[in-house]
Amino acid sequence: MAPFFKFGYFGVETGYVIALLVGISFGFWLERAGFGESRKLALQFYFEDMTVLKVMFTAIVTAMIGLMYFTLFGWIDISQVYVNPTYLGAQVVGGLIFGIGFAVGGYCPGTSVVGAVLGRIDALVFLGGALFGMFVFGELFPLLEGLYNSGYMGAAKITDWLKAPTGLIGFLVIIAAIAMFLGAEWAENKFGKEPAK
Amino acid sequence: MRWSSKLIGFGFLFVLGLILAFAPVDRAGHITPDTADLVNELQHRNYYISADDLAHSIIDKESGFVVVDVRGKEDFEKYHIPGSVNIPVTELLNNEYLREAAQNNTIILTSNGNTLASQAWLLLKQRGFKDVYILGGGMNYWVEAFGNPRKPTGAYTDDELFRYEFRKAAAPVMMGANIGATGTEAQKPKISKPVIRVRNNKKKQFDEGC
Repeated sequence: MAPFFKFGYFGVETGYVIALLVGISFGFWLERAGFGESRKLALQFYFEDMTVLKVMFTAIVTAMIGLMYFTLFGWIDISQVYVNPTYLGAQVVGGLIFGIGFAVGGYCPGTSVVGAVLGRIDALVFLGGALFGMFVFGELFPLLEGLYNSGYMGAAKITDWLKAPTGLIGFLVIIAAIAMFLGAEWAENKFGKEPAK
Repeated sequence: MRWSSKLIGFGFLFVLGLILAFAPVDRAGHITPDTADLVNELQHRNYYISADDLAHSIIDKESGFVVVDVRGKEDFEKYHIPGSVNIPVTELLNNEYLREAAQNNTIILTSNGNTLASQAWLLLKQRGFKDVYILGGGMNYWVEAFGNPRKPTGAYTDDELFRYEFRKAAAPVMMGANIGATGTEAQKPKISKPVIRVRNNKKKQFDEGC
């Protein structure tokens, strides 16, 4: 039964190898989706090409449906799946900085690595900037520690917050995803200068 | 044609979601372990932790575990493992502290022998507690090991000698106030406050790429 690591089917070292393989395939498919090119990525901020939104929502919905059905089939113990803790204050500030960086630089951290591997100079510059930013953050950490830990909510979930059944929330997320999809297509037709590829 | 294939896709998604909305996802998430499996695990002592291992962990001030003494209050006050918490087996299931501690800690159950701790283990496991172990031999063995460590005789190995040396060295700490108990101290049994050492979760933070 999954998650395999938590049930001890493989150890930490094997885990690293698997992580490497998953990472490589992640990068490969990002490139195949056209996310190695900053122009395509940046177009989403002008509502001209919403591929990023669609791909991300597809990934979210696929993973969500998969996890829920696997739970129903008894293939996975969902309580053992690691949930990233929420730091509301830190994540609001971080999200804004992330968004600005994305709009200005045309990459997000993952795609900048993909772009750099493809040999794009803007991606290399972006990656260098990201590394420099990490260095500065590390040096300033004592000053930023308050912000870094602000708004800690533990492994917060929408279902706990609304006290609604998980399946119902899943259904609502699917509805939201379909609405987003249609909205994105509508925006592309309205703002897109050329038809989306 | 393009529109219709999209409609099929969305329709499929919608149906999948509709099934989820009425499916007992939350109930399926709480998997109750099979009793026969649990009894088998107990018989094979897969969930036993040895007294020496526990003593090492206590001395090294390792975090991430809580020793829960399931004996009665009287027994606990007479003697207990340093840092352990007393939750009699009858109160085990409605104990708020235990529920909270179990989220980030390994629970190690101990009683006089193995029996009571094993029952407590079975109880907790069936209630969905994951990370629960039993102190092998219980308090009886603990006191035997650390109260009066026996020097290995005959053809002993380095390991045995080392264990003896360790037990002898650890005895004052492990036996706590009992060994140096004077009259005044015996009258006022120290009630050790539970120290929850929460595991630092940051170390297992994963990066989520975009």
